[in-house]
Amino acid sequence: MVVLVGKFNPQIFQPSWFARHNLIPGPEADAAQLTVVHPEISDFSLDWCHLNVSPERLTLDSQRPERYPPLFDLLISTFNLLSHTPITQVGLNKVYEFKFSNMKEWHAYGHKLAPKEPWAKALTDPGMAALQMRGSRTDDKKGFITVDIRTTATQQMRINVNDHFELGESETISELLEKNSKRTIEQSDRIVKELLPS
Amino acid sequence: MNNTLDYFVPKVEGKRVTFSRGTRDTFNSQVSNEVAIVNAATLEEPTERESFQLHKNLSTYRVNRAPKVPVFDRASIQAPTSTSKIISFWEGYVNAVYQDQGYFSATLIDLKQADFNSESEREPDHQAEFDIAEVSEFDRDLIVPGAVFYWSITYITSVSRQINTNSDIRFRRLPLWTKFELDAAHASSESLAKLFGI
Repeated sequence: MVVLVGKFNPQIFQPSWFARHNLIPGPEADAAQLTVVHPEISDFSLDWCHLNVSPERLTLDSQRPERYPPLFDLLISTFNLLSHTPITQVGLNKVYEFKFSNMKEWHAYGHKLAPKEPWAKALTDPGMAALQMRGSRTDDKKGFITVDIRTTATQQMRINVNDHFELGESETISELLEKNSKRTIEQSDRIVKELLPS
Repeated sequence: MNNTLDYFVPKVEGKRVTFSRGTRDTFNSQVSNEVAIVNAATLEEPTERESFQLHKNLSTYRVNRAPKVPVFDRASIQAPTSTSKIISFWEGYVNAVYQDQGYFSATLIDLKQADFNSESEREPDHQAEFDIAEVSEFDRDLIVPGAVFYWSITYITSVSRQINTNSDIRFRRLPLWTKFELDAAHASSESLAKLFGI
């Protein structure tokens, strides 16, 4: 999922606008599931992605990892056209879902990430529900990387890696995505691989 | 703080519901300008005598259809109906197009996502030939030498746990040239022409 923070005009972001500029195929726009188009919000889904735009925020996500590159392409092309849109922050998120094969492994992993000793006197049967860690960027960009790990159901967890950028004045969102989208995906995969139980 | 922006009067037309601006006192009387269009599929048995509210809640907006469920329920929009696992994922570059024979040749670069269950390495680049018929009709005019596409093979597990294999070819819709870029290129070519006395 990509989250952009800035100033947007939601009314522009309609399936027909994207098709008119050849950013998506016409039949895809015709088949779009339109939830709402309004001066304050635009929200619709194509068969592979979902777009939500409010005056301060744009989110574009896909449940299909094989469509991440086209998702970035769509944003790059969009903001090449809307090049004067002021965007201040960018969040590139990749979400991973995992299931543990048994309760013992699930608990062991929770104990490893969040040792229970400090909680022993405070809570009865403490268990890790969610954990968030923030790290510095290793490139020359402003921002940070946040990893959020949480339990979604018994023996199941979700890891969200958020690559957060503060956009500089001289840099456009299209340039940033062109240079960083592939690297961000690889970096997220590497981080999650490091965190998974061996 | 009162986050209520306005009330809206829905007008049901087949699968579309049009909302018109109203007020708490008059929402059942005169209908004025249209402000939003909502897909009726996201509503539950809409009728013309129900009122809606548009709430501003931090940076998101939500239409509430009190006392029933909200119109926007992102959980319902995003609820996964199936899961997918990428088996192979390639970025392709079209080398040559053979319209008469109905195929094109391409170089493929492995984009496989991290495999958390093994230490598999990326495949070396491949040469391949594709039937043009395998490409969506609306992408076929993008098949030209140099064009970039993504090719994935995915296992899709349906809600009923049935597994299907899906091959997906998606051509990249490259960023359009902006007027600024075209002007800059034109100016650059003119100065080079002057330099070489052309």
